[in-house]
Order: sequence, then C-alpha cells, then structure tokens
Amino acid sequence: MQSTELLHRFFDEGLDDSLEDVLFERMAVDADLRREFLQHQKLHHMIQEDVAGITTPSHVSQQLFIHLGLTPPAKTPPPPGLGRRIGAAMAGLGGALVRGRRYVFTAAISALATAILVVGIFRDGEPLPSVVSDLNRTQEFPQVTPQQDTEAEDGVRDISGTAVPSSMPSSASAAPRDVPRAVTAASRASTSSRSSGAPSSATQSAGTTHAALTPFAARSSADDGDAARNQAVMRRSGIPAMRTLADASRVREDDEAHALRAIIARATPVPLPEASSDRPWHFFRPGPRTNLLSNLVFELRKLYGQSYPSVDLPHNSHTLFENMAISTVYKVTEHHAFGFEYGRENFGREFVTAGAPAFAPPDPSMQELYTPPTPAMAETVRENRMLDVFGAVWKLSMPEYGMFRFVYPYMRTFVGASIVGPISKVRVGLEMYPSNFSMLNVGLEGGLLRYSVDEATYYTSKLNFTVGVAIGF
Amino acid sequence: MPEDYSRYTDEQLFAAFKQSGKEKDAAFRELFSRYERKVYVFCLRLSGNPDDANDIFQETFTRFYRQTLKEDERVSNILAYLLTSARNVFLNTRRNKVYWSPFEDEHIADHVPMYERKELLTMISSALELLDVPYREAFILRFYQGLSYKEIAEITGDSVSSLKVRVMRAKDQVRTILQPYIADLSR
Repeated sequence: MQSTELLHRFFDEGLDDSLEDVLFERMAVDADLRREFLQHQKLHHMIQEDVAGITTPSHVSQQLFIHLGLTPPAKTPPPPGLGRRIGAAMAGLGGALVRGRRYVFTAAISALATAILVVGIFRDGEPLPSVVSDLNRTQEFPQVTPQQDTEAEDGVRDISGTAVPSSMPSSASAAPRDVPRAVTAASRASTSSRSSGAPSSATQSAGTTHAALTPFAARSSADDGDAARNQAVMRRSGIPAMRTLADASRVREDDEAHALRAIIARATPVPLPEASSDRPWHFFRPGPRTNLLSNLVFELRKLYGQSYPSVDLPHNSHTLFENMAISTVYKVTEHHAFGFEYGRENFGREFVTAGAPAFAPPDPSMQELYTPPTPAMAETVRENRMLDVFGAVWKLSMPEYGMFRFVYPYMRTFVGASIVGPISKVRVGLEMYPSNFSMLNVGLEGGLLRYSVDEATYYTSKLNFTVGVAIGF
Repeated sequence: MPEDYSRYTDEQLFAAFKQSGKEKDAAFRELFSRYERKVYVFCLRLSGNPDDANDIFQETFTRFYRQTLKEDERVSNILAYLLTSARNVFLNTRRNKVYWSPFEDEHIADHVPMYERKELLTMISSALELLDVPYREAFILRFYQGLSYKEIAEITGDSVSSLKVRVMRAKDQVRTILQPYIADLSR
C-alpha cells in the first residue's frame, strides 16, 4: 500500500497496529512523508476549530419558529462564570495528572530521595566519608602558627628563621594581611570544625575568604605592593623567597589553589557575594569550579549510543529533541549536587507477544485495499522507539583531582522512569569551566531499562557517549 | 406532566412528530435542539456564505415541519434525513446563482505574510468553495459532520467506494490550496 494512501486512512478511518507501524517506520526515513503527516494533522485541527466556532445565529432560529407559528426557543444560556471555568480547568489538570501518573510518581519519589540525601549529608556530628576525607586533606598544606604569621607580616623572619627586612609599606599592610590571614584562618577553622563537627566557624571565614579571592584575581604583577605581599605569603607558605617578578604569577596561582583547597575543606559551596549582580560575566576565563556565578546549573546534553539488544530499525521520532536531555542541578557542597533531568532517548527492545487478532475490514468494498488478515500467533516484536525519560540526578564531583585548574572528573547517577518502565543510569566523565558562568562536560554513560510485556520481564542496556553544556545564572 | 423527549431515539421522536398538536410541536423542538447546529454547519460550509446558509437552514426545517407524512413512514436517522433535505435545497438554489470565491491561483504566493488564526479559518471555508459540489459535500459530511461512509452514501446516493476516493481527492485539493497557510500556522 502506498504511503500517501496509508496516511489518508490513518486520519480517515484509522489503521490497525501493523499498518500503523508500517506508516511510522516509513515516516522515520521519509522527510516528505513526515511533512505531509503534519499537514494532515494541522488541517484536521483547523476543521475541528472551524466546527467549534460555528453556531446557529439566534435570530435565524427565532425567525424560523415565528414563521412556523411556534413559540421561539429560549435564548442560549450565558457562558459559564469564572468559578465554573476554574473548576473545568482543575478537572482538566486532574485528568492530565492521572494520565501522566507515572511521571508524577517518579517526580515525587525523586524529590523525596533528594530531600533525604540532602538532610543526610548535613546530619550534625556525622559528616559523610567524602567530606571527612576533604577535611583530612588540609593536613597536606602548611599550617602557619600565629607567631609565624605575625613575624612574617612584620617582615622579621621568613619561614626558615632568617631575619628579613620588612619591605611592606604600612599603608599596604591591611589588605594583604587580611588575605593570607583569612586563608590561614580557614585552614584553622577547618581543623576546629573537624574536631567539633560545627561548621559555624568555617562559615564565619567563608565570606572573608571568598572576598579574598577577588584581590587575587585583580592583582597586577607590576605593583610593588603586590610583589611585597607575594613575598610575605611565600614565606608563610614555606616557599623560597621570590627573586624575580616572573615568579609572582606562579605564587598567585599557588595562593589561589591554596584558597580553593580551604574552601573545599569547609564542605559548603562558596557563598555568592552580596552584590552578585555586579559580578561581571567573563566569556573566556578558565578557572576553578568555585568561579561559577551560581550554585544552580542548567544543563543540556546530547547522547550518542548503542542499545543492547541492538535493534536496527529507525526510531519513530519526528522532532528535534532526539537523544538529548536537559537537567537542573543544585550544588549542595563542592562534591554533591542534586537535581532533575528530562530527556528523550531511543532504546532498542525485542520481546515476544501474542499477535493481533484477525483483522476484518469494516467495509467489503475496502477488501481490495487490504492485505489478507493473518491468524493470531505469538511473534517477536522489535522496536527502537524514542522514549521520554524523567528522573532524579545525583552528581559527585572531585575537585581535588582537578587538572589544569579548570578540568575536573565527576560521576553522575540517574534514577527515573519512562512510559514503558523504570530506567537507571551511571555516567563518569570530565567537566571543564571555560568561563565563570558556563561548564562543558563529556562522559561515558551506561543505562538499564526494565520493561514488561505479557507478564514477562525484559531488560535493555545502553552505552552512551555524552557531550553537554551547562550554564549557571 | 410533560413528556421528556430528550430520552427518545430518533425513530421514537419521528413517530411522535407524526402526531398532531402539542405532541408534534414538542417533538419538533427536541429534534431542532438536537440537530440544528449540525445542519447549520453543513449549510454554511456547503453554500459558503452566511446569507445563503440562513436561507437553506430555514427552508430545510420549514419543509421538514410542513411535509405531509405517510402513516407508515419511518425515519431512523433524522440527521441524515435533514442533511439530505438541506442538500437538495442547496442544489435547487445553486442553479440560479453564480458563486464567487475570493481565492485565485495567482494569490497563492510563495511568500506568505503572517495571518491571524481567524483569517486562516476563514480560508478553509474559501478553499472548500473551490471544490466541485460532489467533492465538497463528501468532504463536509465526512470531516465536519463525522458521518460514516454508509450514511453519506444514503444522503448522496453514491457508492461507498466512490465516496472514499472523492473524500481523499477533496482533502488533497484542500491541503494543496492551504499548504502555504498551514505552514504559516505552524510558526
């Protein structure tokens, strides 16, 4: 049967399941047929709207009844009031929720799981092992005693105990002193918080330390005051005294890395500055993860993958959003982020089902247009449908293993559902921060779909390579 | 207590309509309330303009009310009966009139401006007017009235297979005429 004829019958009298599959398979590979399908669809919508908009003029009815010698009919009742319209809208919403109950349940369970995980991480006195390991890493960094701190600021001695003349002008001492002191205070606070389990002291230094990042970024190596401050910092950190200006940038990078580690050790995300709207967007400024403007991130990603079982059929999709996903993720700590994801992805499926009953054409005159019906029998069905997928996301970042200051490894899990059954996925990859409001990521993802047909359970596994872009507002 | 004709089938309603006096009037009112809108839609889309549709509509129901019915005459599908009558009235009045359609082939340009939805729905009416009457009535009865091909065959007197071909061709013609406007509607 020709494709256009199938299309006409689809919209006119309907097709049986086998002919419908044939039509959709042809549409999957024929763009002109898809365009024709949309035209038919739109034309039917126009007809429905046209019919809905036509009413008999009341004066025509009135004139008719008067002409027949009858009492004219009562005028049409006024349109329903606002209350009834709201009730109708609520009823429609309730109907939509019932139809999409699978997604509603998935969203509710995902939200509950997210809330439990968030609460669990911040239980008092019992930080998670990954948080504890972050705190332990502070031992790797040099701990400066208060006396050493004071002596270094005064320029009395360097870290090796050698007397060093003070080269810092007194007027410039306030700002640079705050920076390294804040860094040191953060490391001290992290030590105290590790013992007491209270994040409050770390939080107090959070704003100061975060403000301290700004001077690091804004400093110019040509400034004599900068050189002096760098030398003081190096002494406290145990770095050999700076001899040339070329060392200044390296010292600055080390200071920023040190501050980053202190932030990670606090196990809380970097709080945004008070005047966050004043913070400019830098379109190309690779930097650490804490450079992002926001803890709320929106991601769009594309999937390239293969299902197992491998079903070599074109998927019956005719939209742009194919094998893609969008997600919203909130960074709770520098390691953990939670959110939701919606995507459309094709999964190859192969299962055995009882065949359709023998089909009888509705009209004997149509017999010539149909292939003879086949008797009902068990048959193997192979599909490669594009499925809507929705669920919850947990992302584990590992900033301590960063490379080149803006590339970090991560792991991400997804638990959700599609219209045919539940889906779970795990992804590992790398994320990059080319600017202070965007993130790029690549990853390798493994997924598993579970579905049931005629009381038999089947599984489809899938391996994907993903590429994504995210923006933090 | 007045009779509740809303529960009557078409056959029962027609039987009540054949009576005289108040029973006939009540049955006619019920019959009118059931089918007046469908008949008007058919008249409007078949004739293409409200004035002619009003005349055909009134003439259809007037003929139905005033006809002399035989005692053993029965009608199980009043809607088909009314639509057949409306079709006949339209064909009779059409012989004496020249119909003009706002559509001309050269107006269907490649570059189509943005149209309001209301204008596009008006265009479907105009597109129908470009169809020959047999194709137009088959299209309207199938897609506007939702009648089965068997019911349409009873109204027009044609075979079911020829009606299916006619509906398919009519739809293709309408789709071709409205193609640039349908694409515009999707933006």
